[in-house]
Amino acid sequence: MKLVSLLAMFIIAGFMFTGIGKLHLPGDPAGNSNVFSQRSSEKTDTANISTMDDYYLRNGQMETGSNNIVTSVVFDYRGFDTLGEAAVLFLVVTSISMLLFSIIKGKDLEETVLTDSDGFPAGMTRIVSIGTVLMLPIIMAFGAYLVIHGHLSPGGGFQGGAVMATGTALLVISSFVVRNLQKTYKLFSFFESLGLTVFIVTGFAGMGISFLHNFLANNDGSFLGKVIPLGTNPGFLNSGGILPILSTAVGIEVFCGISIILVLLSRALNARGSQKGGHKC
Amino acid sequence: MLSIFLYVTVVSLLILSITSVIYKRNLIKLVIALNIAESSVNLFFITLAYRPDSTAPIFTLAPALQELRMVLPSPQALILTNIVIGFATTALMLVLAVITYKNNGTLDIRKLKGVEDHD
Repeated sequence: MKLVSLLAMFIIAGFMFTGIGKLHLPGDPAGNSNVFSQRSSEKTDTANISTMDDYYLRNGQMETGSNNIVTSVVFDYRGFDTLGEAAVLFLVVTSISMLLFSIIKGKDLEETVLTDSDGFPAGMTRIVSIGTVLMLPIIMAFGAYLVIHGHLSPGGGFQGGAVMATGTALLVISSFVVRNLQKTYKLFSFFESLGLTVFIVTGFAGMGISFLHNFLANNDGSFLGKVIPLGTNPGFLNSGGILPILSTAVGIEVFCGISIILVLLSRALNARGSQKGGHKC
Repeated sequence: MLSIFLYVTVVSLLILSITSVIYKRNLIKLVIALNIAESSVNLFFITLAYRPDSTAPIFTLAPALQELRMVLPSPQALILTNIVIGFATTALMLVLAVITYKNNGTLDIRKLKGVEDHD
């Protein structure tokens, strides 16, 4: 049996290594490598492009008003894909809470927090507690910066939300236990649903043309509609159309979803009602 | 020609992860193996999207060159999707491992063959 699986492994490896020869060399993709060669007019340029990525690079900045082409691909050209991605995250968070609330029962739901005389969690040294309190606002501010500047600089809703959730992870590992698990769960869950709802509502708002149509972009100076100069520019926060709105919605959803996972998982690992092997469901 | 080794790295990581999935018996190690597979796919996409002497596809304060070159944006967008989905599935798998351990007291999949009678 072991010999058969070993043989199968070698066959799979052989197929994969043979497939390498059929790929183009790294650093040599198809398409026009000069982004703005023969690019003069303000119209959508379809004459000088041969691949999908060239279309994004040449026209993405003009069509979506976003300097970050990756964000414009994620939230505009492939916005429906991103909606499915956010829905998958929502589904996973829902199923994880369902699974973990079958472990966390009874006394584990209302944790009695052990604090010392200054209100910090007992069992950790003061260095950890005060370091957490000092680091948390900085982490949250950096995450919010990544979310809000998603259309201008590297970042976006998913990355910023994940960075903000590391703040929750810091709270969890430094024993800042939540006092009322049900209330915390409901709060996070509400904001998670709110993020997804804002995403869908924003998608339907442009329904006059298509779902997730970027109806706010390039509206000549109105809300989020600044017409940005093509090419290198310093970046304008008031641009991008619906991209910053979607980015913020996704950021809130990711932050709250990952926070739910972290808090529930840490509580389930410390659940006292179920010892090793003693808990049959 | 040396850059072909990027693809070799991708395939090696993938083979490593498939081997671990077949031969390892600890559930946590299976989760780690699937994470390695995900990382190899991410590395593959980044390798496909690479262009020499180019910047990230962001125009904010990009070098104002006459011939501005940028790497391909859509593989990066796909990797963003992949990372989020990978995170979600990893979290789900870890939770299932936790519940398995709470119920059976072991993470060894060979000892998880049968289910005892429930009361």
